[in-house]
Amino acid sequence: MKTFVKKAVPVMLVGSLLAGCVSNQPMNDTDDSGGSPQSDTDRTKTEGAVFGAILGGLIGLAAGDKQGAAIGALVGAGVGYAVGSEVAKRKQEYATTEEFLDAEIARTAEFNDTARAHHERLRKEIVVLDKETKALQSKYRAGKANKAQLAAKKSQLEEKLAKNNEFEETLQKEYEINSEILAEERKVRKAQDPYLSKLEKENGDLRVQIEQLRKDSEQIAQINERLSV
Amino acid sequence: MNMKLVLVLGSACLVSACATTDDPREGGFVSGVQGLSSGAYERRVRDREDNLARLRAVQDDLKQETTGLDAQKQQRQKLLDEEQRKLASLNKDVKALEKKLAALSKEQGTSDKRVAELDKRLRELKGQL
Repeated sequence: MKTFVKKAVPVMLVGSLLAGCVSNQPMNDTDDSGGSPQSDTDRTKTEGAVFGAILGGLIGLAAGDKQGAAIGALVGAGVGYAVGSEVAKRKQEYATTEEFLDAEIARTAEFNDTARAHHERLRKEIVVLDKETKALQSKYRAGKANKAQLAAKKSQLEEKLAKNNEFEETLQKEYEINSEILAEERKVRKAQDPYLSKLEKENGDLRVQIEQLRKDSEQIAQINERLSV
Repeated sequence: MNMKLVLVLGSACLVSACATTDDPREGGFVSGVQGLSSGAYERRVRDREDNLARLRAVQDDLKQETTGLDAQKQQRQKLLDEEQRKLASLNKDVKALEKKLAALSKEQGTSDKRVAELDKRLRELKGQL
């Protein structure tokens, strides 16, 4: 019997342990990336029961005889199953926590990637806006220079207008003097004197022209008024 | 008795010698016991929590950056709109100025001609008197 125990039990024990210990092998054949939690839970419980039975059996055997070994194996299987269930439960909790964290990590990483891409777009848009603004500022400077030139021209015209007004006043005075001279001439010459008639006509035309000039000046002044940008 | 003890110890050694995994989704009972007792599962969770905390810190930074960039873009857009408005106004002024200056020059030319003619006639009249 001792010989049997010496030889058979170790062989059975090693065989059972090696068969039960299928580490790193997913239990779900359809999924190579990881084990199915349900399969692993069952496996853990089963292995717990098997280990418990073996350990219980060995302890029973160590403490007594075959019967002791059988009782030890039975009790060990029950305890092993209970321990296995607890281990499986905790493994499941860790697995669930990991899944939650992995999902959060993936979601946050995706958000960050999207944000980075958005920033890249924003930076490009800002560069384009800066470029457009600079171009507009350049055009504005050129336009302002053009406007300054036009304003200078306007000033020149205003000066000219002022001179015309001044000249008009001079002409007006001369016209008045001529009119006085004509009045004097009428006293010494006959009423039908052709020279006098000619002078009177000339003076009348001159008056019309002065009036026209005044009207022109007024018109120019109005235009100038409208030009005040 | 010694032989039995050897068997118990031997089996314990065999169990502990089994290749294990720290993934709680697999590995069965032995890996489970090892993962729980060694803290390997806890470490995996902690690593993930640390990773998530880092990513969330980056996320916060990125959110702040987004706010800053949005504000920058808005400010640049406002500046551009202002420049467009200024330029449009300037162009309108210049166009009007050019048009009216052309009219003024024309009037000016006519006026100059009349003044010159008038001056000439007045001189002639004065010469005759």
